[in-house]
Parts: sequence; structure tokens; C-alpha cells
Amino acid sequence: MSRANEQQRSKISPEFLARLSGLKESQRVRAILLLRTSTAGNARGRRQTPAERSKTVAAVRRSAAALLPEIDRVLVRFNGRRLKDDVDAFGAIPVETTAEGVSALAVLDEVKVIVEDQPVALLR
Amino acid sequence: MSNGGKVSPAFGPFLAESGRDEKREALVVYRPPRVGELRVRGSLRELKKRLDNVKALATTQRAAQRQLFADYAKAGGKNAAGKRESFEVSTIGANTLPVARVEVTREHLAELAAKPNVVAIMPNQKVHLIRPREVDYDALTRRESRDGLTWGLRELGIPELWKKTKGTDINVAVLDTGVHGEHAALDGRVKEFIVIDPLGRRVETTKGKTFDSDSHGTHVCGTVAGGKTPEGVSIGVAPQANLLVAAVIFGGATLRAVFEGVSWAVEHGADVISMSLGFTYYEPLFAEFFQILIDQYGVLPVASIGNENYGNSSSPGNAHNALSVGAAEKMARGKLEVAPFSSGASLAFPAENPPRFVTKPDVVAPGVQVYSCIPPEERRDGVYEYNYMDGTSMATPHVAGAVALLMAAKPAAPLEDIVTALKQTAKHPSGDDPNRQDNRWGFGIIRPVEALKALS
Repeated sequence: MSRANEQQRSKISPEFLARLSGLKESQRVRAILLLRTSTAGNARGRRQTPAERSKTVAAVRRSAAALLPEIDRVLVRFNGRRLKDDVDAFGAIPVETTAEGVSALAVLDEVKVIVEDQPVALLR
Repeated sequence: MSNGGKVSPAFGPFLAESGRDEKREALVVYRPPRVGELRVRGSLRELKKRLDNVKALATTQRAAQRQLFADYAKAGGKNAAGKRESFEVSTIGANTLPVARVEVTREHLAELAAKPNVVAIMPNQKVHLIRPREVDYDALTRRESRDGLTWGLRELGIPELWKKTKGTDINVAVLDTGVHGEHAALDGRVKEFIVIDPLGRRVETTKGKTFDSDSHGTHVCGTVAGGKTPEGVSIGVAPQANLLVAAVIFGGATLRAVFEGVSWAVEHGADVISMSLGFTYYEPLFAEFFQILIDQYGVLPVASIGNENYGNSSSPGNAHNALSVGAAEKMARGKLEVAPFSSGASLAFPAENPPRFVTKPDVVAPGVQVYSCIPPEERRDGVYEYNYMDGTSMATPHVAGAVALLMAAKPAAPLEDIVTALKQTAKHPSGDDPNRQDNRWGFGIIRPVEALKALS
């Protein structure tokens, strides 16, 4: 298995990979990228004070924002774009690109996980 | 018994309890002889050909069945009275399906299973219609009014915990259809509200007004932190906890709205996030996001496992690190059962090598005939502000509320300890075996009072 394939398998779920394989070359898909930020394990599973929380959110955003230029470079190559200017408190950013673009993003060290922007419903 | 997996486990009681000569009717599936290929669809001429093929298949199968069971039918041997007996073998329909009705004893079941062309043996069972169950809401309403609390709160022993805390200063985020924050039962509880549109944009309402695009979100909020009904029935597990409500489910919502909602909740100080929602397909990698919630922010995700029955589960409730919740119901004579609709399954978690098997749900909580508040609903006979709802959606806020109480009572307890305490003290019908988790009960129905003792 090539490194690219190995990266894809660890960063993209089998279901999403299967859906990507069914897309036409020019077809675009919306996905959410979780970026590899450098502030992991801050709270260590303990409740935070409001000040600690604000500090962590800011640190995650700062760390993730520094990775965006590399993400943008790949998106441009594959007719893609970011769907939001800023990263969220997870260090995640929604994007739109082709299946090939998703594969290329998965190879980046900056990207930890990619999930499809799939429909959500109430559990009735 | 070694039978190559051919004998259904449903024969267990028969094998354990039946006498040597006791017979039971079984359905035996056998390997059909190969005939020409059958087309499933086609023109009328092809359909006629197909029908001819089916008839030919039935004839061939009849002969094959006769041959397969010829010696078995005579193998009955002598019964306890010394009389020779044979086994009855009969066809089902016109032999179009390779299934026969066969009498078996526990001794001869293995012999039958050993036949190479026998594929599976299962007991013939009575089949009945699944009829709508009649629910006596009047009796339940009377009982809850008399008790001054819902059956769920009573079952979980919540008033005992209220002697110590009612969840003050704990922020429970609810990602749902919104909330009717002006409801009397939620007076002062909704501290923050946001609408996340399907494009993931945050829409703030004027003057902090809230709304619910359905009634689901308000019902869930009532179970987490609602107060009392005008009749004096307590509906909320943590009636002094703060609610941070993100309306994420309306108008073709996608995962993007959920992310934005969770991110908003984190930024606004959420301690617990209650999610009674599900994705379209299994997304095990959502666990990565939950891990950030837990590790970086100390926020516990509590999620419904789904309402698709045993053998199924919903994401994100089936993520290995979500505290996932199934639904329990109180039966007529007070016995507690897992609701038939409540999901549960074991899944391979492919992000790890070798893949880890994840068993869900983690716990169950009251999720049938749950009384809570709804936005005012005009009906022919008046305005309704409370109703009963069923679902793992209703069980989840019970657990989120219980977590809020435990967090308030033990502010320094790490999330891991709270989750472990809830699981290990949960009551399961099979007892206290630490490995008792199954796909119906998980570790069992939560016992927050016992969990608090365990944390102490």
C-alpha cells in the first residue's frame, strides 16, 4: 500500500472513501478538515475555568490558522475553496473540492482527519 | 455442541431442558441443487420463462429434499418406551424454497447439522403481528402527579441527588431544533441561544429571543434542566443547570451546522453537550473531534445511540469516546426493559490497527413515555405545553442532566472518572460483572446516586 493510500485510510472513513470513489472527476464534495494543531491535551479531561477555555480556543485557532496557506495551495490545484474564513474551536475548516482534492488533502501532515459534510437529522 | 454454526442459538433452552425423546419442530435450510439462472426482471416472455424455471427448480428441490432427509426420517430409533419412532419431514409450500419442516430431538440435531448439504437449522416459532401497544397515559399522569416527578427522575433516584446539588453553574449545551425558552418550566434556564443555519453561519436572534423549529429541542431541554409543571411534577434532572442551546437541526442541516454548534458551545463554556441527533452514515472518525472536546476542553459529549432497533447504531453516538445512550422503558408491572426500538451494535473501529471493536450503547436511561415541556401547541381542546415523547433522544438528556449533577457535586472529578462511575454503577439485569456491557443495556441503566458514591 502506498503512503498516500495509507494516509487516506487513516484520515478518511471507509464510507467516505467509497462515496468519493463514486464521484465524477469534476464533481465536488463538501468536507470538514480537522487540522493538526499543537495544543492537544490542554484540559486533560478536566473542566476548565472560563479564562482557561478562552485561552485554549484562541490557541487552537491560532495554531490551525497557521496551517491554512498550505490547505489553500492544495484547494486551488483541485478547483476547491474554503467555505469559511476562520477555523472553529476544534481547529476544523469546511471546504469544497473534488475527490482528487480530498485525497491530496489527506496526504498533508497538516490534516488530521477529513469527514464528509453529510446530512444530519433528529433521532425520532 | 460443534455444529459448524448451523444450529441456531435459539435451540439453547431446548437442548438444555428437553428429554431424550422430546421432539421439536425445526426449519432446515438446505443447499439447493443448481438449475439455470433466474432473471429477476424482464419482459412478459422472460417472466413466463422465469415461472417455468421456478417450477423446474421446485421439482428438483423436492427430489433433493427427499434424498437429503430419507435416512434421517427413519433414524428416530427407539423411544423411552422402547417403541420405534420416525421423524416427520414435510415440505414448505411447493418446494420453491430450499427449506423443510423437520422434527428433531436434541440427540439428532447434531446428526442433521453434520449433513454437508444442510445450511442452517432453526426452531419453528410462532409469529405474531406487531400491534400498536395501548398506553395508559392517564394512569401514568396520575402516578407522576402523585409522586411529584416523572417516572424517569424517580427511577434514577434524582431527588436524592438534589439534596446535594441541582446542577448550579454547570453548562449543558443542547444541539437540537432550538428551544422555546419562554416556557414556564424553563424559566431562567436558557443562558445562551444561537441559530446555526444549514450553511454553518451563526445567526443571533434579536434581544436574545429563542425559538424551536419543532418541539423536540424544548422537550430535550426540559428533561435536562426543566422545573415543575403547574401540577407540581418535576421534569428536569438538573433544574439549576444552565442551558446553552444551539438550533442546528432545521432545513436540510448537515454536519457543518453541528460543528459550528459544538464550537459555539465550547466557546460559551459548555461542560456537557447533549446530542439527540444522527448522521446519515457511520463516521467513526468523528471520534477525533470528540477526543478534542474531552482532552482539550474537558467537555463530555453525550449522544443518542439511535432508534433503529437491535443490531444498528447511529453516528455520532457510536463513536468509541461518546457516552452513548439507549432507551429504557417501564413495563406494566414495574419491570424495567430496554425499549424495542433502542439501537445497539458492536462495530469495528477502523482508525486503529488492528481495528478495535466498540460495543454500544454505553448505558441506558428512561426513554419511553417521557413527560416534558413543548412550545405551546393549540389543539381542539386547548393549548398544550407538555407532552410525552419516546426515543433515545429522550434518554440522552437524562444522562446529560445526571452528568451535570455529578459535575456540580464533584467539580474536580475528571470526565473519565465520571464516565467510569456512571458505567460501573449502572444496573444490568445480568448483575455486576465488569464485562457485562451488551448491545441492549450497555452497562445498564444509570444510577447517579451510586455513581456519586463511587466518585466519593
